[in-house]
Amino acid sequence: MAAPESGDGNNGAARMVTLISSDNTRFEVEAAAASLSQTLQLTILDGGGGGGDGIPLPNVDSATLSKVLEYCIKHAPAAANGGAPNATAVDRAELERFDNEFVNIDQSVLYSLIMAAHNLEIEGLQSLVAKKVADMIKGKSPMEIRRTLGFPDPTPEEQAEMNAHMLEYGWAYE
Amino acid sequence: MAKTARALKKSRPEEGDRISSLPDGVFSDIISLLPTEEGVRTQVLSSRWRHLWRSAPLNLDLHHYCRFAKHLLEASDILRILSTHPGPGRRCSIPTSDSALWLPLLKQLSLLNVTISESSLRSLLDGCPVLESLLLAENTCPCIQIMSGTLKSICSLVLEGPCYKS
Repeated sequence: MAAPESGDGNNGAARMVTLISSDNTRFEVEAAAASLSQTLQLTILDGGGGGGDGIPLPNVDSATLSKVLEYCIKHAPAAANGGAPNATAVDRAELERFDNEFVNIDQSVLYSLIMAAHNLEIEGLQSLVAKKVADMIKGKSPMEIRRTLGFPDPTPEEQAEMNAHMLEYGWAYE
Repeated sequence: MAKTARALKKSRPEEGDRISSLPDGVFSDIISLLPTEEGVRTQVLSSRWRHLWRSAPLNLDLHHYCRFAKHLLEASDILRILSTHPGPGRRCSIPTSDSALWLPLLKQLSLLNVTISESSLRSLLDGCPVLESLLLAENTCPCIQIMSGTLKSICSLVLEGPCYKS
């Protein structure tokens, strides 16, 4: 059921669509995988992206799109089964393993992915990257979070505001 | 995928505060995944982040505070959190046994898709002395009898299962 290269339910050969990244690289991918993007779904349903045409994605570069499509291809079979309610524990564990490894990337790639998932409205990917950033923040003090996320050091005014907030919400700084 | 473009050699975008260029909706997702106190703390990260916690779906779970924290969380703190969040809420788990939640001005309460015990709902309603309108929809709650001198309307959108009497 969750075989990696299974078709999309269209009798026989799966329908393919072409996506064009901001730097003009063409990616040919199964329509079922690209349709995980809410943004692309309607265009694809209307028959767009096939043949010589492609769907241009001016906000997504090729490196990011390649990564996004890796996610979509992996998750498409389960999505086609309505979130795979009948998936075996093994299938689910495999997707979980894939997801964990998928977001084990450096921050600049992660931010590009977040942006792309947001623009393309890929729900599962949006949740996955949000969870990754939440995990990066969890258990850290505000100063540690600032460093983790690459914020510049606080100005004296910001430091004063931080101190005032810590007094106001003392219970949250135990 | 028939053709996989070689990933271009990643040009290293300028590091630094790149996360702040992401849209607010992204942060809401992130913040609502954090435990309550950590969500609160994100307000001090930068001026951009200050309002984000308040606009993100509220994830309020304060059970361990009332028992263990040195800074005892008071009802006024909970009220401030609730009143500064326009909603929606992802989770609201507040201990009400020791100090009941008192919402003296609340006139309208909607509980949508909420799992709540009969005693919690009763305790919540007891703390709303001027409640005029109560909407209950798709909630998991046992049968409950509601006594109120101020309620003008109760709307219950439950198709089956639990029942409400007023």
